[in-house]
Amino acid sequence: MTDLAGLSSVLGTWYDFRDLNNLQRLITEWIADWGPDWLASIITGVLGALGILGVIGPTLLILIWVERKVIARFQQRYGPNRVGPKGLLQPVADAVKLILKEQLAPRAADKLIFFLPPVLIFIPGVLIWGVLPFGPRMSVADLNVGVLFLLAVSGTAVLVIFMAGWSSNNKYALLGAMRAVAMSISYEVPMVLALLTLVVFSGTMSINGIVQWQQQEDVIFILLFPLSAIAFFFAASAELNRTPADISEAESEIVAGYHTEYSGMRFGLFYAVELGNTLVVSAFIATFFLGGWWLWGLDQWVPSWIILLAKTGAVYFLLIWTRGTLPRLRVDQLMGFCWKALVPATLLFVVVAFVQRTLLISEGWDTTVALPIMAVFNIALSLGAIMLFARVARPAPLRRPARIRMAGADIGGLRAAREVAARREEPQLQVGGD
Amino acid sequence: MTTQYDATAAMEIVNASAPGAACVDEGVLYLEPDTLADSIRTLRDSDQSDLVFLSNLTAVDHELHFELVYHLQSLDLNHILQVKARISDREDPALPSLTGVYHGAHLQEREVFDLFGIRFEGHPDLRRMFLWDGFPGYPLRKDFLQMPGQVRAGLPGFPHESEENAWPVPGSVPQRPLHPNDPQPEGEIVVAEESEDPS
Amino acid sequence: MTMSDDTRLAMQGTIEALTAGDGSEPVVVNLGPQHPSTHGVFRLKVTLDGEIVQDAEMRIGYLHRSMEKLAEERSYTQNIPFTDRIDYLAAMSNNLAYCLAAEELLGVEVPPRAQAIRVMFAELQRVASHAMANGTFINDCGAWHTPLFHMFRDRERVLDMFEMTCGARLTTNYMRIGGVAFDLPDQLLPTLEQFLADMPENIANYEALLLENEILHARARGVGVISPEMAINSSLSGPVLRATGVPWDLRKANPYCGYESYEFDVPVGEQGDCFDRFLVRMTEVKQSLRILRQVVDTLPDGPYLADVPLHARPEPGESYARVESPRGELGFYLVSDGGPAPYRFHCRPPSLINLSALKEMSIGGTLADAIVTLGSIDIVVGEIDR
Repeated sequence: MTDLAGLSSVLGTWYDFRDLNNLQRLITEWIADWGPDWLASIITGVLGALGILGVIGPTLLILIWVERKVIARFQQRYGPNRVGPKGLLQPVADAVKLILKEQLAPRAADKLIFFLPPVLIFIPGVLIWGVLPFGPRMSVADLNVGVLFLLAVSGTAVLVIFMAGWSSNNKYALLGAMRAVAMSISYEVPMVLALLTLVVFSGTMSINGIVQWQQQEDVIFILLFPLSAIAFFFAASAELNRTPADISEAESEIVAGYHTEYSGMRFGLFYAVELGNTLVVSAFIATFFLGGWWLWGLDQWVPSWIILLAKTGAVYFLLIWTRGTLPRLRVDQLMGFCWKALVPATLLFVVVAFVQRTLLISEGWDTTVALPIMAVFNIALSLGAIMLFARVARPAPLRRPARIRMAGADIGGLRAAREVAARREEPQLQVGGD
Repeated sequence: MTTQYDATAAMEIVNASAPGAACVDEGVLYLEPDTLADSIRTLRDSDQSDLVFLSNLTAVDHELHFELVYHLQSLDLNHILQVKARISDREDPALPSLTGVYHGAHLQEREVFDLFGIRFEGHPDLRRMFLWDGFPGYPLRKDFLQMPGQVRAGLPGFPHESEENAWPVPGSVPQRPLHPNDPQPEGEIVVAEESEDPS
Repeated sequence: MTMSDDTRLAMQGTIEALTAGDGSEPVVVNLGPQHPSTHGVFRLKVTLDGEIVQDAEMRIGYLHRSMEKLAEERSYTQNIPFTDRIDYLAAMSNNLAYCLAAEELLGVEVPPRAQAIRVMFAELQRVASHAMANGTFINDCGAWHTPLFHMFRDRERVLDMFEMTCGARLTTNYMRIGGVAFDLPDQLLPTLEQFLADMPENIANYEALLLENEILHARARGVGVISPEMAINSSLSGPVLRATGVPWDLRKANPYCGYESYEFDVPVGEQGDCFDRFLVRMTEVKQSLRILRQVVDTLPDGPYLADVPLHARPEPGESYARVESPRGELGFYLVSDGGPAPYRFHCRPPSLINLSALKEMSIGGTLADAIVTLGSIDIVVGEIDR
């Protein structure tokens, strides 16, 4: 899986916008003419980082608008439509407002630790972008242990969240931070296991390698391991604190969770990073399970990063959709779902991946035949697992249906209640139950 | 249609277990304050009256005495009974709490305690509810913040009515009494003097 | 006791055993008076052991306006606007209950058209209030405002009808002693017809969105359970009482304003949990629409207001009138001493009394359960504090 046949058609000139990597190569070669090698790698690295930062900022502003518009449509509202054309400048106005607002800090807060988190939370948020492949050779750092880097970096964010919650000296913030830590630790397990499935099956820990494997075998991983993809999606949305798993900043319970005490742009930074994380997680879901920058040959004609963006947008829309539709789970239910459902399911598919990979290699099966068969088998297995879970792990109160009866002529107290309950006729409304 | 439960029948039920605890005056059942909770428990548990639901609990300040008003409802038999109890002690009015009989009396008794200053003996958590601890006086008493020279708080009459009922002409309005939140004079409580009986 | 209660108790026991020797102590968290889920200035002081509620105590009075004292200095007619402010989400029901009590004192006969108009607006108010209650309940379950906004759409149309009839949307001040303030405007009946035509589809949409939602079931089933015996003993009323299975509805038990001439049914639940309260409200909306349909079809002609002097002085006496407001049994107890103003004006607030059992419903559940329970009781702080 080295030099890809399809890429021979790429012109290889700096103005070929399908692969911006050419630009980097041009710069490297230009610097190599007069300077040392290390200078070239530093300059291109800095340029890449600046490029990413330059893209993230405006993208976030647009994303805020997109999210508010889409949610508003779900809720039969217009959404922002006053500032700028179609309300596009609303996020800018909001950002200006947040910057001008007073920065409050509780008197009893631990000042240094209180002021650091809004800044520190940016570090993992930006670092993750470094390993995201926008094209076959387009990533700031194409690490051969990219998956490991991704998990390690994203795991550090929870430390910052706990700093924020702890130093605020606020009970809501502390509760939110504790919930965030508990949830982050729990949900990292199915996340790692879901990625382990891919790593085992594709035999590489490089993120670009996983995309190239999907390209080579002409299959996307969501077809091969649907349950892992669902588990990863849910675990990621839990890590992102989005409904149905937004317990660490559950508005109706603990106001705003760990960032309750942050005001002005400090809050704005938390908010921006959360949105940025949502985008980058959508991008990684698109990369791991939907084939990333590759789309059955279309990437020869359309720039690869546009394909990735389109897929990211689709996943992002799905995240907004779940947020706009579902209520929130309780803490114990969320933990229970993680440990009782997601972890066994993803573990099962790690084993399945091991077996299928071993069969592929040792038996030397033709992948064009074997992979579709495996996909069908895995989809069936996933459906079976979901149905088994729905049957076995349902809490007791949910197994009985909720029934509404009509009192009719029986109006009164306990005696009338017994008479209504003893009726044999069908209840007016019956929902739920096994 | 909810019917009025016969007060005499209720009196007989109460008096059967505790003679002299109830009497009927002009069709209204009055209960002895000392045995109030037991009497109402009897009414609740009796199969004839079956007054299981405490619909309403409140008090009325009749200036010479307080009147506690209970509206008890039977859901299955669909009748309602109004029960009253009188306490004439204005300094420290007290009577037994109904919380042991009806859990729903809990908040309503706290409300009466808060606004009338009537103590309910045996109430597990008798604190002020709407007003803060240390609020001077009990607002729903008729003598709370009474205007000097006025027979009684309240609307004296309509403007077009006779002279003595008419609203005070401008200039004759008496000085506003101190509000509890105003700076208080040393060692004085704002609650106005007890008024005369209007009759 | 359901399985979940056992589990929860076991969980609590485990936590107690784990924290017995390590010097940990429970945390007291104040929900409110400024809090997104308390629907106003209501404060719930919960003692938490981890996430488990050990004690819940409510502190109220932040919105106390001393309505009952103020009403003693105003004439019977002047008191009607106060009743709007008692329960500002069901102003029509409050107007109605007060006017019924005052009419009982004054011995006024209300003309049939006024009766029908009163029923119409009381039921419209129930639709609007239940829309709000169900929407905020789902919000308390953690949904991101979507059901709330969908239900607000219906409420908005009801409020529009209030506006075109009496000029106000929330504090309507529409009922009068002896009838209603204004006759129906010409455009009201067509608007109401359109509303009645659209509502079944909207309700079907809500049911499709919410009733089979597994997360909503998981959050609301078996949470905040109360037994029918305890509910009656705690004087609970309205949907909270009916969710326990007790079929008690004053519109049936003690019909007023001619409710006996309309066909409708009283929905009751089984388990007495938060989900049943939600379902009872959903079903009651349908019954309200049924009543509205009949009111529109049989609306009589005639005067809309009886001839009652504005400056009425009732005979000395007392009256206690109750209506089934969206929140439960709403009563007004009036005492007259023959003067121009009530000698005593007392409101039996269903919101306050329905909170009697809040502590019992919350203890042993998690913090999130306490919020859902509070949301399912459907309180209005204006009515609690008055």
